[in-house]
Amino acid sequence: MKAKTYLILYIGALIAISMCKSYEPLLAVLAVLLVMSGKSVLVIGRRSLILVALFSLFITLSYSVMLYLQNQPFWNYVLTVNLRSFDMVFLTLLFTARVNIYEAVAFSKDLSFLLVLSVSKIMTMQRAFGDYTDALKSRTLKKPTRNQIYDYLGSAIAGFLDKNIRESKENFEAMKSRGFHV
Amino acid sequence: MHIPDGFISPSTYLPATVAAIPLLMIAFKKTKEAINDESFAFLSSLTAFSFVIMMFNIPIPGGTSGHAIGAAILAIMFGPWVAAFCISLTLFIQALVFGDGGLSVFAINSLAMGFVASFAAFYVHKLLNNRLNNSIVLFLSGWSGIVAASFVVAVALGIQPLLGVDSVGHPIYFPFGLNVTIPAVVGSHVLFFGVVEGFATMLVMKFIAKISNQRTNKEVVI
Repeated sequence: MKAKTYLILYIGALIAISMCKSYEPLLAVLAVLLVMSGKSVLVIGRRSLILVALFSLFITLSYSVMLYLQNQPFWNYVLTVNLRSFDMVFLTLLFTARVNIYEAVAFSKDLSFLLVLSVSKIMTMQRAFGDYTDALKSRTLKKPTRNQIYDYLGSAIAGFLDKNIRESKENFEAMKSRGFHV
Repeated sequence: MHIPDGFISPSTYLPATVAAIPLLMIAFKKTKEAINDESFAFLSSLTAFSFVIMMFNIPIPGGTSGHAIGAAILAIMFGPWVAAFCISLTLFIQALVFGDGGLSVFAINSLAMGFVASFAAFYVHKLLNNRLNNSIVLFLSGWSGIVAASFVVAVALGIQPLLGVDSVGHPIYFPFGLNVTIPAVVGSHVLFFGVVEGFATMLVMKFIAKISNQRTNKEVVI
């Protein structure tokens, strides 16, 4: 119940932040978020910066250069857009760090179950992908040709698809044998 | 192509969310019907697959590389509703579990990369199948799906200067209009990301056909 309340509050806060049209309230929001994050401030702050930086800086800097060349004020725009984006990403990361997402979406049994299954499979696949890449590197002495790379990519992606489909059948049998029916 | 949080106004993403929710519910219902009682295990597997395909870096002629989203592969193999649902679920997981992509813009990303890409790829494949060389059809399916999705994203971004300005008339969300976003976003997808998606679709589907043929031949021999 608590997680669902937090989800509603999070969505409300996200919409409210997205409506801010100047940087002053966004600075106040950032201060509140930094205090709320406590000891995780550096970890969440660093990750938010990485997620925001690429798109945000590229777009806002290019637009700011345009405004600067036209002798128009640009600070308000740079601060407002970057702070809004940073606040929203920071809020999302804080929410995911503090609230059990699976419990938060438990208003739908189907969605909650699907989310748990999918995330666990994604994590398994991420590990398998890492192992696959390391195995290829350790077995490749010469730089592969483009055709060899295409052969590898086709077989690797199709292999992952095949593995996923086979595992889904095993998972289904395992779920059924444990009395789980959806 | 992911749009991050903070660049799209509520007057865009709220109506998009209202439009996406019933579509996702229909997609979920159709997906469950299409894949019967194994649905949950199968759906989560396809979602994990669409997540994993985004991790592969695919080089294209010209010396650059990028990642595919796999919409055409899933749409051709399992139908557009299944593909749209799996890609949307992947985007939801990326936004909420991994903090990548943004929840406020999830609906726009889902409509573009999930629905538009899957349906465009599926119908291009259906239209051209058996009329052109199979490799070309597969390439065009992947390419057209991603280009169609990029058009939706370009429009969503390009209308932002019309929807929110500050007291001196400067945009407060995404700053560039349609005259910039259409050539920049769609153009880069026509020339680059669409080619990556087309190559990925072609390589994977041909490999799947190859291993299916090998399995069939083996079964005949046995």
